[in-house]
Amino acid sequence: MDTRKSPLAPATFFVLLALAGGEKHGYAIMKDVRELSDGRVQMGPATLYTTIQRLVESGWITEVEHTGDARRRNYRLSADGRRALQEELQHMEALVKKTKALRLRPSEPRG
Amino acid sequence: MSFGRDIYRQLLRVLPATLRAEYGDEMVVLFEDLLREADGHIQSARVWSQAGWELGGLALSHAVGTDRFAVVVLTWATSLACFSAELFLARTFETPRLALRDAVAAVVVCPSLLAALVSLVVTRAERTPVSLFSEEA
Repeated sequence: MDTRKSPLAPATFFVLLALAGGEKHGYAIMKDVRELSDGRVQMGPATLYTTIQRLVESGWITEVEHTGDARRRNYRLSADGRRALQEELQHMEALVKKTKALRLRPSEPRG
Repeated sequence: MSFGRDIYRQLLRVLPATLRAEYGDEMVVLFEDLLREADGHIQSARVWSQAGWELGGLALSHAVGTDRFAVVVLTWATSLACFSAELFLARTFETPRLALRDAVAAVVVCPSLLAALVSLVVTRAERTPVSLFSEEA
């Protein structure tokens, strides 16, 4: 059981989220991250592969053995990575529930 | 394209050797994809500029991490150096009052400017993912 308290870094979260849809290579991950975050998280090659390296080291993603293009390796989410992503999503859902309880609404236009 | 690829490969030298050895080739392929995707000189320049900022930020992140103590020491060491330089000039040019005024100004202004600059660079560096988490638990 992961007892971490810190939220995932945005780059980590979105890479895991991108891989939740299936195995992908770097370029596809980068495009998915941009799309999933509505353009708010944009990673260049160095940031992406730094994140991938950390995720591989932590065992949250794994390299897929065989791909068509030798220059592009595919990566997939591991069971631990999926668990970490689910935990993060649960934290987010709990936060949204708490926020809804505060009844935060945009201010009404005055007329 | 191969010229751009070679330059980018050289720029990757600022990154740790282990990262470069394991993922360097893939980074270069991905950078080529981005250049290919760029439409026109302006977008190509944007890809290059983003790559420069990204590599600079990552290099700094890897070098100092989030060691704020090192940043504070660096800031005040530079300030002290500025102050010493001012005092040296005051003695050399024998205009103590003017030089002393400048020295005091330097002590106030230099740390502020330097702290702002260092904060900017560190803030950029902290956006780059050296850690998987937003902050260490």
